[in-house]
Amino acid sequence: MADLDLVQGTLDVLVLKALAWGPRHGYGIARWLRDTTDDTILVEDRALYLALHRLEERDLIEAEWGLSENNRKARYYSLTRAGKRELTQRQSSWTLYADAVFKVLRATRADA
Amino acid sequence: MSPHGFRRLLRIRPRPGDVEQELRFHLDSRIEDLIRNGSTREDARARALAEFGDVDRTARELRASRRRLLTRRARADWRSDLRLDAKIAWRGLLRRPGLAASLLLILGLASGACGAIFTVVRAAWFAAMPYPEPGRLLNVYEVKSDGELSEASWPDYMDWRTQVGSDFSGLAGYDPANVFVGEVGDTRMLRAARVTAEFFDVLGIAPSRGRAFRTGEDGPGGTPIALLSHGYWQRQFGGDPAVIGRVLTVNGAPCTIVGVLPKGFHFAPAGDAELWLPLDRDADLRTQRSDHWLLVVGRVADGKSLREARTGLELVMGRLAGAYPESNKGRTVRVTPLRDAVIGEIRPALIALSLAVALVLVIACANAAGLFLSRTLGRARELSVRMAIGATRGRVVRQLVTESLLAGVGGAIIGVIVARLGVRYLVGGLDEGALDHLPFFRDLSPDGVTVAFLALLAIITGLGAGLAPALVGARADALHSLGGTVRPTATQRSGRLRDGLVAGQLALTLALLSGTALMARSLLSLLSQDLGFQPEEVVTGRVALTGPAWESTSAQQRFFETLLARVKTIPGVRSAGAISNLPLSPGGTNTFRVEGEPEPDQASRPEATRRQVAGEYFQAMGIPLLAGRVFSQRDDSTTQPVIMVSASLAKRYFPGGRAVGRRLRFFAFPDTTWEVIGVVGDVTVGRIDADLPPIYYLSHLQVAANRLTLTARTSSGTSMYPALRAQLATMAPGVALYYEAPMTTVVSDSPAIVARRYPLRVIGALAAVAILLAVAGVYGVVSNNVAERRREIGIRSALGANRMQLIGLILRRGALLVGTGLLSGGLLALIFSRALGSMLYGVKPGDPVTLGLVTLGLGATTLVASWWPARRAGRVDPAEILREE
Repeated sequence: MADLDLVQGTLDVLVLKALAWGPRHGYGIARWLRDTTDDTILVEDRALYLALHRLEERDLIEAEWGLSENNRKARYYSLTRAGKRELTQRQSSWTLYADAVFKVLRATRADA
Repeated sequence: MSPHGFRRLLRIRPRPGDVEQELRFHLDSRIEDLIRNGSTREDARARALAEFGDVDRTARELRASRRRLLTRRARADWRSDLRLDAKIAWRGLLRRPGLAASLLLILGLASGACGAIFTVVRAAWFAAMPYPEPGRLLNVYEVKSDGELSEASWPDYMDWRTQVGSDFSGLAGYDPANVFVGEVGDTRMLRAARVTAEFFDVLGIAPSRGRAFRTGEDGPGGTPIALLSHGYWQRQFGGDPAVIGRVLTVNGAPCTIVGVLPKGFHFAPAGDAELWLPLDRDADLRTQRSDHWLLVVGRVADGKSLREARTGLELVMGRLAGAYPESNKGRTVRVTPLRDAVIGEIRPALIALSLAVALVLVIACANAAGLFLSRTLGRARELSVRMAIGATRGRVVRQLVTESLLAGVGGAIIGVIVARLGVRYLVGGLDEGALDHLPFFRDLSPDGVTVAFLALLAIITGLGAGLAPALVGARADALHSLGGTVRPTATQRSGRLRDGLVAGQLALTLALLSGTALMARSLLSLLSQDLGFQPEEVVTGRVALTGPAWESTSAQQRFFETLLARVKTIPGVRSAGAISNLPLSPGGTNTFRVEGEPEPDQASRPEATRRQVAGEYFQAMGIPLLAGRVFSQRDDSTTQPVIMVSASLAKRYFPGGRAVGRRLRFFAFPDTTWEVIGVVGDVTVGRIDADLPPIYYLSHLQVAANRLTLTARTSSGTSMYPALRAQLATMAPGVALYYEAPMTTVVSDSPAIVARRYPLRVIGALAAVAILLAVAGVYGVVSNNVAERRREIGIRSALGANRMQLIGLILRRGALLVGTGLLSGGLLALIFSRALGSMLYGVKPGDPVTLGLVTLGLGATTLVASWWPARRAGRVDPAEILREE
């Protein structure tokens, strides 16, 4: 399947969701996104890190140094309380949005 | 504690390589994954880099993002620390309510006093001149050849206006006067001023309703129209907008209201006039260059300096002196800022009060600092623990200073209330007469600017009281403190600071006290000054005859003769007289020439103050007759014109001192020769603190007056007023009696006395507060000293020192402290008393007797304050001390 450009702001939601089950480092998030979407959505790693730092600046996630699976120092990100709230909110608005787009694209008749 | 909190406590800061390390970890992990999936190392590296994008640029951007984040967090931390500090400080103050109350009281009183004086000074500076560009307004006086100021003559004023050119944008004349408003039988005296047509233009003021005066309306005889002050319009007409066109009866004649002046307008040099009328002097008064009656105000033109305006006017006046030597020789002009005329009189008092209140504020800060210091030392253990587990010294200092800042803020809040009361007290101390000349003090109360000023003071007092104790307290040696017993270094250091604070307070208190004592002595020497008359038992009241019915001089003379005769029948009255102007009030002067003496040079003509008298004036006032006789009822218009002169006039202008029988002529009435019939003692004319000027007296039977002030010597005092008013009512309904006051009040309310008594009262109160604080400070230091040296005292006592020796030990240090304070205070006192300058009278700023007595008094008081706690040293039980070890 072709590369999809991410709609503005979508990456933020994906990052927040990636952290929903607990802290991950940047590489872990990238791998999770790739695995979960079966490489459908290709995120440039550079964009991912910019997004992480942007979310940290907004206090939606916080970072701490920790040890990785292979015993290396890695920066672990986790959701803050505000981040969890943001995720819930964005998730539901995204679902609504996607449903609406779907309905339009699946429409079978020209008149309502 | 949040993770950020821990990080801060552990002082972990992000290292510069953080971003690189994070990115490297990402790339390495990706490469390893790819290799695991079968790529070669080179392919894996290339792919990982391609997937990532521009690494360097990303690292740059991420670093910028982190910097932003850290800065913001630091700020947020600072704010949350502040909240925490404030909470701790608040609890700390609540835990010791006694300390908190003293702090709030001390800082509240001091900053409140500052706020009150600030409000008054600010009003004097800003509200005193409610005109656009007030700095360009000037007062213009003529100066007599002897250097005294005088009003301008009309011809001089007209020449100034036409000849001064472009230096002034306008010159206007004004002439303050009291008028009587209302129908006959129901008149009220009103402060008024007659002004030239351009007066309001020069001030830059337009009426809020109606119109101002027009050119020509200020001509000879004037125009019967009037402008009202806003206050009078509100009071008398309830702010009725239809007031324009209404007719008032002014001095018995109808007068149409043409306008109302804006709210807030006042003109202090005209005594806060409520009614404004066009100038109305007759044509013949406007032709005499030797008749000086016009006060002049001018506005410097745009782009011209005060100096240019002054020089221009001086040139014009110089030309006039050349052109009209008969009247103008030796006369010059003085141009002063209008502000000087408005607040010049009270400026010394305002400066003295500002200084005094600033001294009190510093004393209060020092006192509060002493209290904080003992509190900080009492918490040495807590602070040491905090520093031991990682709090920095700066952090601890900050927390302590927050506490003092909180006290400062609390003090300022109390200060707002104190300032409100203080302003009420300050302004309430002024009587109506004084307020007429300081109208900007009417209804004065602290406003938002005062609150802002107090907020600033809160920070200043908070830092002033808390910073030094916090720095010393936070230096406390952690190990010693935790060890538990004595900490010699910290104790010594804080002891020095505490001694310094108390000595400083003593020094400032001495300065304030010396100033107070010097002012009190000035007042006493003024009050004990020989006035030349006996004010006790004399009551006075002014009677004015206005309106058409009283225009003839014989009617005026008959009225006053009859009135005085009837006053004498009032029970208790021993003698009754009247005079045109009481002693202590200024009056017009005339130049004259003594017959038989050489023709005087024009510039040095004899000149004396004129007074008209009636009845037994000299007897009633207790002014001694030194030679000749007093006026009798036979000295009237049909007999030889006669005058009486004061002793200094006789001595100065009649060589040999024999004045009685000599004759003189006044330049104002060149056709009449006057014979001197008597010489009386000197009395003051203007201010008590000025020299006694020569005076001559005329009989009202020869030169009539329509306004005279009654003076009656009576044993019944002011209770004779009802009888006097009854007499007036039966004689001539509608004649007003005003300015009723016992002569003693006239003296004590005279400007020279009020200008000193009033600030003295305030400074005295401030000095009393200062003494209280200083004594409390000394007491605190000495009792603390006793407590700290209990062990030493106990050991000395065990070794055989007797009680007096122990007390002496403590007292010696107290005395050293007091001595240091007083010594440095002496120097401050010299500086402060010099600032009192013109307010002192009959005593020099550095008067050794006053300063010595004050120093002794304060020294004795503080020694008693240290004796009290020192006695406790004598009661220390050595056995108890040894048990404690």
